[in-house]
Amino acid sequence: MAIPVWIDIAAPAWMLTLAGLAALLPAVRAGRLPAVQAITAGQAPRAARGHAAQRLAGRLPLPRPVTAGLATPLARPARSAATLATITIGLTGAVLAVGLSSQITKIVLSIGQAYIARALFQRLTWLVVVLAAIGVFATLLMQAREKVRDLGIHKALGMTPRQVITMVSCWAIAPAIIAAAIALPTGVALEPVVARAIVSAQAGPAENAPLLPGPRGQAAGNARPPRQQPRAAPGGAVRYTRHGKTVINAGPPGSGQRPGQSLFSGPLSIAGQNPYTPGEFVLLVLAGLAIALAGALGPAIWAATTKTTTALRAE
Amino acid sequence: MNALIELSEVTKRYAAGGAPALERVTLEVAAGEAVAVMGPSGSGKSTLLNLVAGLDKPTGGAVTVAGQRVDTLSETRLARYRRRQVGMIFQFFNLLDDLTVADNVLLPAQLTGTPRRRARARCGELLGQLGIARYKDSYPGRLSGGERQRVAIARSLINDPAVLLADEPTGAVDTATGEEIGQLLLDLNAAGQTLVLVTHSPDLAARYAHRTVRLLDGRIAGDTATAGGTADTGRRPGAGARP
Repeated sequence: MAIPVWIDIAAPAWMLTLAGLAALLPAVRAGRLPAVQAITAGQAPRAARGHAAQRLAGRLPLPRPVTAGLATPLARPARSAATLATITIGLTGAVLAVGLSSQITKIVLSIGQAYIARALFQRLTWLVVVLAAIGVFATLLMQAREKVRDLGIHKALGMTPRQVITMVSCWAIAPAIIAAAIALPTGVALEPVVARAIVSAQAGPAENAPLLPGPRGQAAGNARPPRQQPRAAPGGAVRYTRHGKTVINAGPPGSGQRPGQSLFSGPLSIAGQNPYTPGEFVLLVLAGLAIALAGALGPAIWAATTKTTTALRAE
Repeated sequence: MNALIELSEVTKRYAAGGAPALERVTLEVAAGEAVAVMGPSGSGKSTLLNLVAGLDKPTGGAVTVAGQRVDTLSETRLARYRRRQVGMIFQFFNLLDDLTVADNVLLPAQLTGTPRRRARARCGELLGQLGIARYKDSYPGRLSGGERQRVAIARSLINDPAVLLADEPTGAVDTATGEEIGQLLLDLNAAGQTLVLVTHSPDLAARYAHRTVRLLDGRIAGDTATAGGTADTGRRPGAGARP
Protein backbone atom coordinates (compact mmCIF):
# COMPACT_ATOMS: atom_id res chain seq x y z
CA MET A 1 0.00 0.00 0.00
CA ALA A 2 1.43 3.36 -0.98
CA ILE A 3 1.94 5.99 1.67
CA PRO A 4 -0.26 9.02 1.03
CA VAL A 5 1.57 12.12 -0.12
CA TRP A 6 0.27 14.21 2.74
CA ILE A 7 2.12 11.97 5.20
CA ASP A 8 5.38 12.65 3.38
CA ILE A 9 4.78 16.33 4.02
CA ALA A 10 3.17 16.16 7.43
CA ALA A 11 5.77 13.88 9.05
CA PRO A 12 8.82 16.11 8.49
CA ALA A 13 6.72 19.19 9.26
CA TRP A 14 5.66 17.64 12.55
CA MET A 15 9.26 16.68 13.33
CA LEU A 16 10.43 20.23 12.69
CA THR A 17 7.63 21.61 14.83
CA LEU A 18 8.51 19.27 17.68
CA ALA A 19 12.20 20.14 17.45
CA GLY A 20 11.36 23.84 17.40
CA LEU A 21 9.10 23.52 20.42
CA ALA A 22 11.76 21.53 22.30
CA ALA A 23 14.35 24.21 21.56
CA LEU A 24 12.04 27.07 22.43
CA LEU A 25 12.27 26.83 26.22
CA PRO A 26 16.08 26.85 26.49
CA ALA A 27 16.24 29.48 23.75
CA VAL A 28 13.89 31.79 25.62
CA ARG A 29 15.82 31.15 28.84
CA ALA A 30 19.13 31.96 27.14
CA GLY A 31 17.66 35.10 25.62
CA ARG A 32 16.46 36.37 28.98
CA LEU A 33 19.64 35.48 30.88
CA PRO A 34 21.24 38.67 32.24
CA ALA A 35 24.70 39.29 30.79
CA VAL A 36 26.35 39.44 34.21
CA GLN A 37 24.90 36.06 35.12
CA ALA A 38 26.09 34.56 31.85
CA ILE A 39 29.61 35.93 32.29
CA THR A 40 29.96 34.70 35.87
CA ALA A 41 28.53 31.27 35.15
CA GLY A 42 30.77 28.71 36.83
CA GLN A 43 32.73 31.34 38.73
CA ALA A 44 30.27 32.64 41.25
CA PRO A 45 29.11 30.32 44.03
CA ARG A 46 26.11 28.39 42.81
CA ALA A 47 22.68 28.64 44.29
CA ALA A 48 22.00 26.45 47.28
CA ARG A 49 20.28 23.66 45.40
CA GLY A 50 20.52 20.09 46.48
CA HIS A 51 22.33 20.90 49.73
CA ALA A 52 19.81 19.03 51.85
CA ALA A 53 19.94 16.09 49.46
CA GLN A 54 23.72 15.98 49.63
CA ARG A 55 23.60 16.15 53.39
CA LEU A 56 21.02 13.38 53.67
CA ALA A 57 22.77 11.21 51.12
CA GLY A 58 26.04 11.70 52.95
CA ARG A 59 24.52 10.03 55.99
CA LEU A 60 23.65 6.88 54.11
CA PRO A 61 25.94 3.95 54.85
CA LEU A 62 27.01 3.81 51.22
CA PRO A 63 30.29 4.62 49.49
CA ARG A 64 30.85 8.28 48.65
CA PRO A 65 30.57 7.87 44.86
CA VAL A 66 27.10 6.35 45.31
CA THR A 67 25.80 8.96 47.75
CA ALA A 68 27.19 11.82 45.65
CA GLY A 69 25.66 10.30 42.52
CA LEU A 70 22.24 9.82 44.09
CA ALA A 71 22.08 13.35 45.47
CA THR A 72 23.31 15.19 42.39
CA PRO A 73 20.06 15.01 40.34
CA LEU A 74 18.24 16.99 43.02
CA ALA A 75 20.53 19.96 42.44
CA ARG A 76 19.07 20.34 38.92
CA PRO A 77 15.40 19.37 39.24
CA ALA A 78 14.38 20.46 35.73
CA ARG A 79 17.14 18.46 34.08
CA SER A 80 16.43 15.47 36.27
CA ALA A 81 12.77 15.74 35.32
CA ALA A 82 13.82 15.52 31.67
CA THR A 83 15.85 12.40 32.42
CA LEU A 84 12.93 10.99 34.37
CA ALA A 85 10.50 11.72 31.52
CA THR A 86 12.83 10.12 28.98
CA ILE A 87 13.19 6.91 30.95
CA THR A 88 9.48 6.86 31.80
CA ILE A 89 8.46 7.16 28.15
CA GLY A 90 10.92 4.47 27.11
CA LEU A 91 9.87 2.11 29.84
CA THR A 92 6.16 2.73 29.31
CA GLY A 93 6.70 1.82 25.66
CA ALA A 94 8.45 -1.36 26.73
CA VAL A 95 5.66 -2.27 29.18
CA LEU A 96 3.05 -1.71 26.48
CA ALA A 97 4.94 -3.72 23.94
CA VAL A 98 5.47 -6.66 26.28
CA GLY A 99 1.78 -6.72 27.18
CA LEU A 100 0.62 -6.36 23.59
CA SER A 101 3.05 -8.97 22.35
CA SER A 102 1.67 -11.34 24.93
CA GLN A 103 -1.91 -10.62 23.85
CA ILE A 104 -1.30 -10.38 20.18
CA THR A 105 -2.09 -13.99 19.39
CA LYS A 106 -5.55 -13.40 20.78
CA ILE A 107 -6.34 -10.25 18.87
CA VAL A 108 -5.17 -11.07 15.38
CA LEU A 109 -6.62 -13.37 12.89
CA SER A 110 -3.79 -15.65 11.91
CA ILE A 111 -0.50 -16.98 13.12
CA GLY A 112 1.22 -15.14 10.28
CA GLN A 113 -0.31 -11.86 11.37
CA ALA A 114 0.61 -12.59 14.97
CA TYR A 115 4.20 -13.18 13.94
CA ILE A 116 4.33 -9.93 11.99
CA ALA A 117 2.65 -7.97 14.75
CA ARG A 118 4.98 -9.34 17.43
CA ALA A 119 7.99 -8.54 15.32
CA LEU A 120 6.64 -5.06 14.78
CA PHE A 121 6.11 -4.53 18.50
CA GLN A 122 9.58 -5.82 19.29
CA ARG A 123 11.17 -3.46 16.84
CA LEU A 124 9.12 -0.53 18.05
CA THR A 125 10.09 -1.40 21.62
CA TRP A 126 13.74 -1.40 20.75
CA LEU A 127 13.33 1.88 18.92
CA VAL A 128 11.68 3.53 21.92
CA VAL A 129 14.21 2.05 24.35
CA VAL A 130 17.19 3.14 22.26
CA LEU A 131 15.72 6.63 21.86
CA ALA A 132 15.22 6.82 25.62
CA ALA A 133 18.82 5.76 26.23
CA ILE A 134 19.99 8.42 23.76
CA GLY A 135 17.90 10.98 25.64
CA VAL A 136 19.49 9.97 28.94
CA PHE A 137 22.91 10.07 27.28
CA ALA A 138 22.39 13.63 26.00
CA THR A 139 21.11 14.92 29.33
CA LEU A 140 23.84 13.31 31.41
CA LEU A 141 26.59 14.33 29.03
CA MET A 142 25.45 17.92 29.39
CA GLN A 143 25.40 17.49 33.18
CA ALA A 144 28.85 15.87 33.20
CA ARG A 145 30.29 18.71 31.14
CA GLU A 146 28.70 21.24 33.45
CA LYS A 147 30.09 19.50 36.52
CA VAL A 148 33.48 18.77 35.04
CA ARG A 149 35.25 20.93 37.62
CA ASP A 150 33.60 19.02 40.47
CA LEU A 151 34.60 15.78 38.77
CA GLY A 152 38.15 17.11 38.49
CA ILE A 153 38.20 17.90 42.20
CA HIS A 154 36.99 14.42 43.05
CA LYS A 155 39.66 12.92 40.82
CA ALA A 156 42.40 15.16 42.19
CA LEU A 157 41.45 14.03 45.68
CA GLY A 158 41.78 10.40 44.73
CA MET A 159 38.55 9.19 43.13
CA THR A 160 39.43 6.27 40.88
CA PRO A 161 38.08 5.97 37.32
CA ARG A 162 35.76 3.19 38.46
CA GLN A 163 34.41 5.36 41.26
CA VAL A 164 33.83 8.21 38.79
CA ILE A 165 31.86 5.86 36.53
CA THR A 166 29.83 4.70 39.52
CA MET A 167 29.09 8.27 40.57
CA VAL A 168 27.96 9.43 37.13
CA SER A 169 25.91 6.27 36.58
CA CYS A 170 24.15 6.95 39.87
CA TRP A 171 23.00 10.28 38.47
CA ALA A 172 20.53 8.23 36.42
CA ILE A 173 19.67 5.56 38.98
CA ALA A 174 17.25 7.58 41.13
CA PRO A 175 15.32 8.86 38.07
CA ALA A 176 15.25 5.29 36.74
CA ILE A 177 13.70 3.93 39.95
CA ILE A 178 11.06 6.68 39.97
CA ALA A 179 10.48 6.13 36.24
CA ALA A 180 9.87 2.42 36.86
CA ALA A 181 7.35 3.29 39.57
CA ILE A 182 5.48 5.53 37.10
CA ALA A 183 5.93 3.57 33.89
CA LEU A 184 4.84 0.13 35.08
CA PRO A 185 1.31 1.07 36.21
CA THR A 186 0.98 3.51 33.31
CA GLY A 187 1.96 0.90 30.78
CA VAL A 188 -0.30 -1.70 32.33
CA ALA A 189 -3.19 0.75 32.32
CA LEU A 190 -2.59 1.78 28.72
CA GLU A 191 -2.19 -1.73 27.39
CA PRO A 192 -5.93 -2.60 27.16
CA VAL A 193 -6.69 0.79 25.64
CA VAL A 194 -4.09 0.32 22.93
CA ALA A 195 -5.14 -3.29 22.42
CA ARG A 196 -8.71 -2.20 21.85
CA ALA A 197 -7.54 0.43 19.41
CA ILE A 198 -5.58 -2.19 17.49
CA VAL A 199 -8.51 -4.57 17.33
CA SER A 200 -10.81 -1.77 16.24
CA ALA A 201 -8.42 -0.73 13.53
CA GLN A 202 -8.05 -4.29 12.36
CA ALA A 203 -11.66 -5.33 12.27
CA GLY A 204 -13.01 -1.97 11.21
CA PRO A 205 -14.24 0.59 13.66
CA ALA A 206 -17.79 0.65 12.35
CA GLU A 207 -18.22 -3.04 12.82
CA ASN A 208 -16.62 -3.74 16.14
CA ALA A 209 -16.44 -0.61 18.16
CA PRO A 210 -19.79 -1.13 19.87
CA LEU A 211 -18.92 -4.69 20.84
CA LEU A 212 -15.44 -4.12 22.17
CA PRO A 213 -15.10 -4.14 25.90
CA GLY A 214 -15.60 -0.92 27.77
CA PRO A 215 -13.26 0.44 30.37
CA ARG A 216 -11.37 -2.10 32.42
CA GLY A 217 -13.56 -3.89 34.85
CA GLN A 218 -16.62 -3.86 32.66
CA ALA A 219 -17.25 -7.46 32.02
CA ALA A 220 -17.43 -7.70 28.31
CA GLY A 221 -17.75 -11.40 28.82
CA ASN A 222 -21.08 -10.82 30.45
CA ALA A 223 -22.43 -10.00 27.06
CA ARG A 224 -25.07 -12.35 25.94
CA PRO A 225 -23.99 -15.33 23.94
CA PRO A 226 -24.35 -14.88 20.23
CA ARG A 227 -27.53 -16.01 18.72
CA GLN A 228 -25.88 -17.55 15.73
CA GLN A 229 -23.47 -20.39 15.70
CA PRO A 230 -19.94 -19.23 15.24
CA ARG A 231 -17.99 -20.38 12.27
CA ALA A 232 -14.33 -20.72 11.72
CA ALA A 233 -12.42 -17.81 10.32
CA PRO A 234 -8.95 -18.00 8.79
CA GLY A 235 -6.17 -18.62 11.26
CA GLY A 236 -8.30 -20.46 13.76
CA ALA A 237 -10.26 -17.38 14.80
CA VAL A 238 -14.00 -17.56 15.20
CA ARG A 239 -16.30 -15.34 13.22
CA TYR A 240 -19.91 -14.86 14.12
CA THR A 241 -22.64 -12.32 13.79
CA ARG A 242 -24.30 -10.54 16.60
CA HIS A 243 -26.99 -7.94 16.29
CA GLY A 244 -26.34 -8.00 12.60
CA LYS A 245 -22.67 -7.13 13.01
CA THR A 246 -19.65 -9.26 12.33
CA VAL A 247 -17.53 -10.13 15.32
CA ILE A 248 -14.21 -11.84 15.10
CA ASN A 249 -13.18 -13.81 18.13
CA ALA A 250 -9.50 -14.30 17.63
CA GLY A 251 -9.09 -16.74 20.44
CA PRO A 252 -7.64 -19.82 18.86
CA PRO A 253 -9.35 -23.13 19.43
CA GLY A 254 -8.52 -24.45 22.83
CA SER A 255 -7.50 -21.06 24.18
CA GLY A 256 -10.34 -21.06 26.65
CA GLN A 257 -12.12 -18.19 25.03
CA ARG A 258 -15.76 -18.64 24.45
CA PRO A 259 -17.61 -17.35 21.47
CA GLY A 260 -18.96 -13.95 22.33
CA GLN A 261 -16.18 -13.24 24.71
CA SER A 262 -14.27 -10.02 24.12
CA LEU A 263 -11.70 -9.98 21.39
CA PHE A 264 -9.43 -8.42 23.90
CA SER A 265 -8.28 -10.32 26.94
CA GLY A 266 -6.33 -7.68 28.78
CA PRO A 267 -5.22 -7.78 32.38
CA LEU A 268 -8.06 -8.01 34.83
CA SER A 269 -10.44 -8.72 31.97
CA ILE A 270 -13.04 -11.36 32.36
CA ALA A 271 -10.72 -13.99 31.03
CA GLY A 272 -8.59 -13.26 34.10
CA GLN A 273 -5.48 -13.42 31.98
CA ASN A 274 -2.89 -10.93 33.05
CA PRO A 275 -0.54 -10.53 30.10
CA TYR A 276 2.41 -9.89 32.41
CA THR A 277 4.14 -12.58 34.35
CA PRO A 278 5.97 -11.65 37.57
CA GLY A 279 9.20 -12.41 35.77
CA GLU A 280 8.32 -9.89 33.07
CA PHE A 281 7.66 -7.23 35.70
CA VAL A 282 11.10 -7.84 37.17
CA LEU A 283 12.62 -7.72 33.70
CA LEU A 284 10.80 -4.47 32.95
CA VAL A 285 12.15 -2.83 36.12
CA LEU A 286 15.59 -4.01 35.11
CA ALA A 287 14.91 -2.61 31.63
CA GLY A 288 14.37 0.81 33.21
CA LEU A 289 17.71 0.54 34.96
CA ALA A 290 19.28 -0.71 31.74
CA ILE A 291 17.98 2.32 29.81
CA ALA A 292 19.42 4.60 32.50
CA LEU A 293 22.76 2.83 32.67
CA ALA A 294 23.11 2.52 28.90
CA GLY A 295 22.54 6.26 28.59
CA ALA A 296 24.83 7.04 31.51
CA LEU A 297 27.73 4.90 30.38
CA GLY A 298 29.02 7.28 27.72
CA PRO A 299 29.05 10.38 29.97
CA ALA A 300 30.52 8.28 32.80
CA ILE A 301 33.39 7.05 30.66
CA TRP A 302 33.95 10.56 29.35
CA ALA A 303 34.11 11.83 32.95
CA ALA A 304 36.45 9.04 34.02
CA THR A 305 38.86 9.56 31.16
CA THR A 306 38.93 13.36 31.14
CA LYS A 307 42.34 14.54 32.32
CA THR A 308 42.19 15.79 35.88
CA THR A 309 44.29 18.86 35.14
CA THR A 310 42.00 19.79 32.24
CA ALA A 311 38.92 19.26 34.39
CA LEU A 312 40.30 21.44 37.18
CA ARG A 313 40.92 24.28 34.77
CA ALA A 314 37.39 24.07 33.38
CA GLU A 315 35.07 26.87 34.40
CA MET B 1 69.93 13.29 51.71
CA ASN B 2 66.95 11.06 52.50
CA ALA B 3 64.82 12.10 49.53
CA LEU B 4 61.06 11.81 49.83
CA ILE B 5 60.53 13.24 46.34
CA GLU B 6 62.89 12.50 43.48
CA LEU B 7 62.63 13.82 39.95
CA SER B 8 65.21 12.35 37.63
CA GLU B 9 65.77 13.85 34.16
CA VAL B 10 62.07 14.65 33.91
CA THR B 11 60.79 16.05 30.64
CA LYS B 12 57.22 16.99 29.90
CA ARG B 13 55.87 18.01 26.50
CA TYR B 14 52.18 18.77 26.04
CA ALA B 15 52.36 18.56 22.26
CA ALA B 16 54.53 16.20 20.26
CA GLY B 17 57.32 18.24 18.73
CA GLY B 18 56.37 21.31 20.77
CA ALA B 19 58.53 23.16 23.28
CA PRO B 20 58.89 21.23 26.53
CA ALA B 21 57.11 22.55 29.61
CA LEU B 22 59.86 20.85 31.64
CA GLU B 23 63.17 19.68 30.25
CA ARG B 24 65.51 17.23 31.97
CA VAL B 25 64.66 18.44 35.44
CA THR B 26 66.39 16.66 38.31
CA LEU B 27 65.34 17.55 41.83
CA GLU B 28 65.24 15.99 45.28
CA VAL B 29 63.16 17.04 48.26
CA ALA B 30 63.94 15.58 51.66
CA ALA B 31 61.31 14.46 54.15
CA GLY B 32 60.29 17.39 56.35
CA GLU B 33 61.70 19.96 53.96
CA ALA B 34 59.83 23.03 52.70
CA VAL B 35 60.72 23.85 49.11
CA ALA B 36 59.42 26.81 47.17
CA VAL B 37 59.27 26.57 43.39
CA MET B 38 59.39 29.96 41.71
CA GLY B 39 59.49 31.26 38.20
CA PRO B 40 57.62 33.39 35.70
CA SER B 41 54.37 32.27 34.11
CA GLY B 42 54.92 29.36 31.75
CA SER B 43 58.19 28.34 33.38
CA GLY B 44 56.84 24.91 34.32
CA LYS B 45 56.04 25.35 38.03
CA SER B 46 52.53 23.96 37.95
CA THR B 47 53.62 21.21 35.56
CA LEU B 48 56.24 20.12 38.05
CA LEU B 49 53.69 20.12 40.86
CA ASN B 50 51.18 18.15 38.75
CA LEU B 51 53.81 15.50 38.01
CA VAL B 52 54.63 15.07 41.70
CA ALA B 53 50.91 14.97 42.51
CA GLY B 54 50.32 12.26 39.94
CA LEU B 55 47.85 14.45 38.07
CA ASP B 56 49.94 14.19 34.94
CA LYS B 57 52.64 11.90 33.57
CA PRO B 58 56.05 12.95 32.30
CA THR B 59 57.10 12.44 28.70
CA GLY B 60 60.47 11.21 29.93
CA GLY B 61 62.39 10.61 33.13
CA ALA B 62 61.22 9.26 36.47
CA VAL B 63 59.18 10.67 39.35
CA THR B 64 59.53 8.83 42.65
CA VAL B 65 57.64 9.75 45.81
CA ALA B 66 58.07 7.88 49.09
CA GLY B 67 59.90 5.13 47.24
CA GLN B 68 57.11 4.66 44.68
CA ARG B 69 57.55 5.30 40.95
CA VAL B 70 54.64 7.60 40.24
CA ASP B 71 55.12 7.97 36.49
CA THR B 72 54.51 4.28 35.79
CA LEU B 73 51.29 3.90 37.77
CA SER B 74 47.92 3.20 36.15
CA GLU B 75 45.14 5.77 36.54
CA THR B 76 43.56 3.75 39.34
CA ARG B 77 46.83 3.38 41.22
CA LEU B 78 47.56 7.06 40.67
CA ALA B 79 44.21 7.92 42.25
CA ARG B 80 45.07 5.74 45.26
CA TYR B 81 48.50 7.34 45.43
CA ARG B 82 46.93 10.79 45.49
CA ARG B 83 44.61 9.79 48.31
CA ARG B 84 47.29 8.36 50.52
CA GLN B 85 50.48 10.24 49.81
CA VAL B 86 49.51 13.67 48.55
CA GLY B 87 47.63 16.60 50.02
CA MET B 88 46.88 19.35 47.49
CA ILE B 89 46.14 23.00 48.12
CA PHE B 90 44.99 24.99 45.09
CA GLN B 91 45.07 28.69 44.33
CA PHE B 92 41.30 28.82 43.91
CA PHE B 93 40.59 26.38 46.75
CA ASN B 94 38.67 23.89 44.61
CA LEU B 95 36.08 23.18 47.26
CA LEU B 96 32.79 21.54 46.34
CA ASP B 97 30.07 24.16 46.68
CA ASP B 98 27.33 21.61 47.36
CA LEU B 99 29.07 20.16 50.39
CA THR B 100 29.43 21.65 53.84
CA VAL B 101 32.86 22.53 55.19
CA ALA B 102 32.96 19.30 57.19
CA ASP B 103 31.88 17.20 54.21
CA ASN B 104 34.51 18.85 52.01
CA VAL B 105 37.19 18.01 54.55
CA LEU B 106 35.88 14.46 54.94
CA LEU B 107 35.81 13.74 51.22
CA PRO B 108 39.35 12.30 50.81
CA ALA B 109 38.84 10.15 53.90
CA GLN B 110 35.56 8.83 52.47
CA LEU B 111 37.27 7.98 49.20
CA THR B 112 39.96 6.14 51.13
CA GLY B 113 37.38 4.20 53.11
CA THR B 114 38.47 5.48 56.52
CA PRO B 115 35.97 4.43 59.20
CA ARG B 116 33.39 7.16 59.59
CA ARG B 117 33.95 7.76 63.30
CA ARG B 118 37.70 8.05 62.94
CA ALA B 119 37.38 10.36 59.93
CA ARG B 120 34.95 12.63 61.77
CA ALA B 121 37.23 12.81 64.79
CA ARG B 122 40.19 13.77 62.60
CA CYS B 123 38.06 16.31 60.73
CA GLY B 124 36.95 17.94 63.99
CA GLU B 125 40.52 18.03 65.18
CA LEU B 126 41.77 19.73 62.01
CA LEU B 127 38.92 22.25 61.87
CA GLY B 128 39.65 23.15 65.47
CA GLN B 129 43.37 23.54 64.87
CA LEU B 130 42.78 25.71 61.82
CA GLY B 131 40.27 27.89 63.65
CA ILE B 132 37.26 27.11 61.47
CA ALA B 133 35.36 24.65 63.66
CA ARG B 134 32.40 27.02 63.88
CA TYR B 135 31.96 26.84 60.11
CA LYS B 136 31.76 23.06 59.91
CA ASP B 137 28.11 23.10 58.81
CA SER B 138 28.48 26.16 56.56
CA TYR B 139 28.86 26.03 52.80
CA PRO B 140 32.03 27.31 51.10
CA GLY B 141 30.10 30.01 49.26
CA ARG B 142 29.51 31.80 52.55
CA LEU B 143 33.16 31.86 53.62
CA SER B 144 35.89 34.39 52.95
CA GLY B 145 38.88 33.50 50.78
CA GLY B 146 41.10 32.90 53.78
CA GLU B 147 38.52 30.68 55.44
CA ARG B 148 38.06 28.69 52.27
CA GLN B 149 41.80 28.16 51.98
CA ARG B 150 41.85 26.93 55.57
CA VAL B 151 39.14 24.44 54.66
CA ALA B 152 41.26 23.34 51.70
CA ILE B 153 44.27 22.92 53.97
CA ALA B 154 42.22 20.85 56.42
CA ARG B 155 41.01 18.70 53.52
CA SER B 156 44.57 18.20 52.30
CA LEU B 157 45.62 16.93 55.74
CA ILE B 158 42.73 14.59 56.52
CA ASN B 159 44.55 11.49 55.27
CA ASP B 160 47.89 12.49 56.82
CA PRO B 161 49.71 12.73 53.48
CA ALA B 162 53.44 12.29 53.10
CA VAL B 163 53.68 15.40 50.92
CA LEU B 164 51.74 18.63 50.94
CA LEU B 165 51.68 20.37 47.55
CA ALA B 166 50.49 23.97 47.44
CA ASP B 167 49.90 25.71 44.12
CA GLU B 168 49.87 29.48 44.67
CA PRO B 169 48.06 29.07 48.00
CA THR B 170 48.00 32.83 48.65
CA GLY B 171 47.29 33.84 45.07
CA ALA B 172 43.57 34.40 45.53
CA VAL B 173 43.55 36.07 48.94
CA ASP B 174 44.47 39.51 50.23
CA THR B 175 47.87 40.26 51.72
CA ALA B 176 46.87 39.87 55.36
CA THR B 177 45.12 36.57 54.69
CA GLY B 178 48.13 35.49 52.62
CA GLU B 179 50.29 36.07 55.69
CA GLU B 180 47.98 33.88 57.75
CA ILE B 181 48.01 31.11 55.16
CA GLY B 182 51.80 31.32 54.91
CA GLN B 183 52.08 31.08 58.66
CA LEU B 184 49.82 28.03 58.69
CA LEU B 185 52.00 26.31 56.12
CA LEU B 186 55.05 27.22 58.13
CA ASP B 187 53.49 25.69 61.23
CA LEU B 188 52.65 22.53 59.33
CA ASN B 189 56.21 22.23 58.10
CA ALA B 190 57.54 22.88 61.58
CA ALA B 191 55.44 19.93 62.70
CA GLY B 192 57.26 17.75 60.18
CA GLN B 193 55.07 18.04 57.11
CA THR B 194 57.01 17.97 53.84
CA LEU B 195 55.92 20.92 51.74
CA VAL B 196 56.37 21.89 48.11
CA LEU B 197 55.07 25.35 47.44
CA VAL B 198 54.62 26.95 44.04
CA THR B 199 54.54 30.70 44.30
CA HIS B 200 55.13 33.90 42.40
CA SER B 201 55.97 35.66 45.65
CA PRO B 202 59.69 35.89 46.51
CA ASP B 203 58.65 37.09 49.95
CA LEU B 204 56.54 33.99 50.62
CA ALA B 205 59.34 31.76 49.38
CA ALA B 206 61.97 33.52 51.47
CA ARG B 207 59.93 33.42 54.65
CA TYR B 208 58.32 30.03 54.49
CA ALA B 209 60.66 27.68 52.64
CA HIS B 210 64.05 26.10 53.34
CA ARG B 211 64.96 26.11 49.68
CA THR B 212 63.89 27.99 46.62
CA VAL B 213 64.06 26.30 43.25
CA ARG B 214 63.86 28.69 40.31
CA LEU B 215 62.49 27.49 37.02
CA LEU B 216 62.99 29.25 33.71
CA ASP B 217 61.66 27.90 30.41
CA GLY B 218 61.21 24.47 31.89
CA ARG B 219 64.73 24.17 33.29
CA ILE B 220 66.08 24.65 36.79
CA ALA B 221 67.80 28.02 36.81
CA GLY B 222 68.69 28.07 40.50
CA ASP B 223 68.38 26.10 43.73
CA THR B 224 69.22 28.14 46.80
CA ALA B 225 68.78 27.78 50.54
CA THR B 226 66.55 30.37 52.21
CA ALA B 227 66.09 31.37 55.79
CA GLY B 228 62.45 30.41 55.96
CA GLY B 229 60.78 27.29 57.21
CA THR B 230 62.40 27.41 60.61
CA ALA B 231 60.09 29.58 62.63
CA ASP B 232 58.34 27.95 65.54
CA THR B 233 55.12 29.67 66.45
CA GLY B 234 54.10 27.15 69.04
CA ARG B 235 50.88 26.32 67.15
CA ARG B 236 50.67 22.97 65.41
CA PRO B 237 47.78 22.70 62.98
CA GLY B 238 49.16 19.53 61.50
CA ALA B 239 50.51 18.07 64.68
CA GLY B 240 48.67 14.89 63.91
CA ALA B 241 50.21 14.72 60.45
CA ARG B 242 52.77 12.15 59.54
CA PRO B 243 56.25 13.48 60.33
